[in-house]
Amino acid sequence: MANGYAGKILKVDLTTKTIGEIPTSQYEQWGGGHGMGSAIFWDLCEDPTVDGTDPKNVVTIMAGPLSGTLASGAAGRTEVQGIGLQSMPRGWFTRSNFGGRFSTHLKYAGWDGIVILGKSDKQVWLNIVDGKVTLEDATSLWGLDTHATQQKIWASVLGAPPAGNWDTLGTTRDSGRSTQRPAVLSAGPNAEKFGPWASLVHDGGNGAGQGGFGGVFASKNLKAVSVLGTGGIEVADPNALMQARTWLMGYAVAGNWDNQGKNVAGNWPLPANPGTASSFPKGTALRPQGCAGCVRMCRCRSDKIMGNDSMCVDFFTTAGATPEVTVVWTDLMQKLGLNAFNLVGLFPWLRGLVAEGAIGKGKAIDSSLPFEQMTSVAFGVDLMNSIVNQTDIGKDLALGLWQCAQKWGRLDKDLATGMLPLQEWGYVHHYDGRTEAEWGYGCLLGDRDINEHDFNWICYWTPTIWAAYGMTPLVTAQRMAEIMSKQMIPYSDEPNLIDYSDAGIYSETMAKTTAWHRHYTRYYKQALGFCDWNWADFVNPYGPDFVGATSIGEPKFFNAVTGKNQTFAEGMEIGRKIWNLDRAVWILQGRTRDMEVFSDYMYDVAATAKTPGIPYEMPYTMPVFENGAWSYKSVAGRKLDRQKVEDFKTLFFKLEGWDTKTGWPTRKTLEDLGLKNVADKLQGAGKLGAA
Amino acid sequence: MALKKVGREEALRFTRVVESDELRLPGSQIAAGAGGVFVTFGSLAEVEAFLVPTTPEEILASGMQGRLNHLDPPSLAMWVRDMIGDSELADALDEVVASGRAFGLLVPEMKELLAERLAQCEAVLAEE
Repeated sequence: MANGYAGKILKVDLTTKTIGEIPTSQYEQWGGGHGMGSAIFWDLCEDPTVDGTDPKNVVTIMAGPLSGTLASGAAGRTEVQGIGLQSMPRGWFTRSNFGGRFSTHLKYAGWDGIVILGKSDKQVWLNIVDGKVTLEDATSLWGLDTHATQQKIWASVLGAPPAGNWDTLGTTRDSGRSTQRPAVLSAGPNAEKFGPWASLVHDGGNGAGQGGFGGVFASKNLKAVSVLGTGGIEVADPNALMQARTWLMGYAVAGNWDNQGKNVAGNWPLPANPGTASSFPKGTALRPQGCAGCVRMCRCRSDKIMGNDSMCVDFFTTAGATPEVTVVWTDLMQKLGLNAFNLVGLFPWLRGLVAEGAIGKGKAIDSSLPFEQMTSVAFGVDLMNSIVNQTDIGKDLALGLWQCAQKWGRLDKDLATGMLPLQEWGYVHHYDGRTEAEWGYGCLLGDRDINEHDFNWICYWTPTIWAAYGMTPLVTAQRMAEIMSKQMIPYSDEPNLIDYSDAGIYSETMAKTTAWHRHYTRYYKQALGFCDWNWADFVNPYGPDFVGATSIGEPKFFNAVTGKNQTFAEGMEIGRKIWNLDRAVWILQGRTRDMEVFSDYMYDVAATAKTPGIPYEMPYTMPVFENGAWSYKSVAGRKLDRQKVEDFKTLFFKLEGWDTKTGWPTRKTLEDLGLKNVADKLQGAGKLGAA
Repeated sequence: MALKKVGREEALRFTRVVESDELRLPGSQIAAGAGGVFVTFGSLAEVEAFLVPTTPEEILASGMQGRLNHLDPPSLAMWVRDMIGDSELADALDEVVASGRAFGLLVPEMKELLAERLAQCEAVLAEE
């Protein structure tokens, strides 16, 4: 069918070894990706209160309608969901996401997603070649790293070694051969033993890091999923899709070649100018690399075959080591299938423990790791191997950062000071909820560090760089607020949506901003697969009057591919529906309003360096509306007020149509969204919000 | 700016590492994608290596991998004077700071001054 969907979802029961399928049309109202994943989890997980390692946990690996098409910055992501192992005080139903070519191959093989149920009695990997799906013995793969696993599977599917030529897999020319290696998603060696750290890795370094899904795979005796597709995806209106791409070029550097030199690059910089190049040692030969269908190419592959496909925090961006060191760490981290964010949070904690004299040879936390050389290759290698092999402090760290701190008797103390930087739910502090309010609230009212840079890029990072270099901003704070309010449908009548002032972060307008962000990302990013580093495009140097592509671009691509006539507002409403469904799962898992609090340091410690005598604030310039006027202002050094955060939650719950006492959705809210069955189930569990 | 030559004793003092956490110079290393962390410096060499001359266009064009290594320039001058004990370098840094320009525009000059002093010290110490 020519609508971007493959038409069926693969359903694999590992307990019974049954391979089945679900018609995609049954879940099409949810868009794809996360929306379909949440709806399938709701329908098939008989008990969401179980732990992530329980066979009853249901894992979904979903593509979307734009996967495998030429939709710009929206074709290469894959969404993973299920009950995770990382968050505390319990593993919430959660999500992760990775790039590369997996979702493309899944679609080309004829599948919109994979649902994994049960637990295999033997170690297996899932082999998908077009419509042929088999479970294969993984005994010999179980102790292998993610790269070695993929190489073995490539050889197994194509015959060893893959020749790089046409491989004949079927009987017809156009649907039976490929030059591609299978796209493999693999857990690390014996990942069941370090589950809260265990990521899933595809190709060199596309990782679903957060959530511990490598550990969930291993708990099901599933090592990897391999998919090779030789077909294609029909889109409804190829001409409209190509026109959408041409239209978007107007917002990109490449489409404005003679008009460069603007003081912000926007979301569409030149391809083949990968930002990750700075993470490699000088002199490394690099070529750009991107997800399937991407026009940005933000990653690299190197002549040293080190750090390939990795990006961002994968390069231990804040560990203080040189590129020569970090590229070795990065490569090992990807091979071992470790979550980069946990490692990045671990470093400052270890530094604090060393400074206190609490860790080291013969110390309270006894360890033989070379703490005097924390920025050396050896330290990082020893540290990661200790976690994966459960030796030295790795025995305790493998339990998870929160759990380890608890075992060492350090949890309350180190969360109070922020030395252990876990902002909420045991997830490592990423962007600061004390300053970037919508980020912090999004994490707190959800399940994980959101890792969504929509506001972060244009409201924090760009103004901060402008200020650090004394530049005249591309747009005034007032103009930024005007532009973004217009795009933030359905809150376009609200002018103060990006007010990050001391008062603004607790306001009803910030509740709207937070809600908009939750709904936007649930649908456009996590269900349809629009990439976090291209979308949302709010302010753009090449857009008309600096207005970016968001709110026009997303439906333009979606409608061209699917043939639908969906408005941006209709998509936002689907995002709200998905967000409410996720909320219902968390409530069934035990979520209550009083659990939704940040770690103590967020309320009690200002976001400033603590060096006595030399006060210092990290630059954090954001738009504020104070005394009747907009400006860009440093909002660093702020603490949160406990009562005001609670008052904010009340405003937010009211806005969402949830019971303000419990944070549980009401029947009316759910029924208005077409979720009567969800309301019934919550009522049955005694967890429906009071009207 | 040309700094006066230093003797061996000064070279040893200016190149030493301040070990005490309380006496180290704070700064931050911020990455667009990954967020920021506080860092501290115990020596001129560490500060010199940390300061990276770049342009805002370059940082923003790097997308999520864009980085800003930041410290407070007046605090650097004060730290060099009080903790490292190099008043001539501190005066020179104060002069750069007095221009009133934004942090990023001061980086090349601050780095150059630190590099000049470190090269002097290295040469003196290599003579022995």
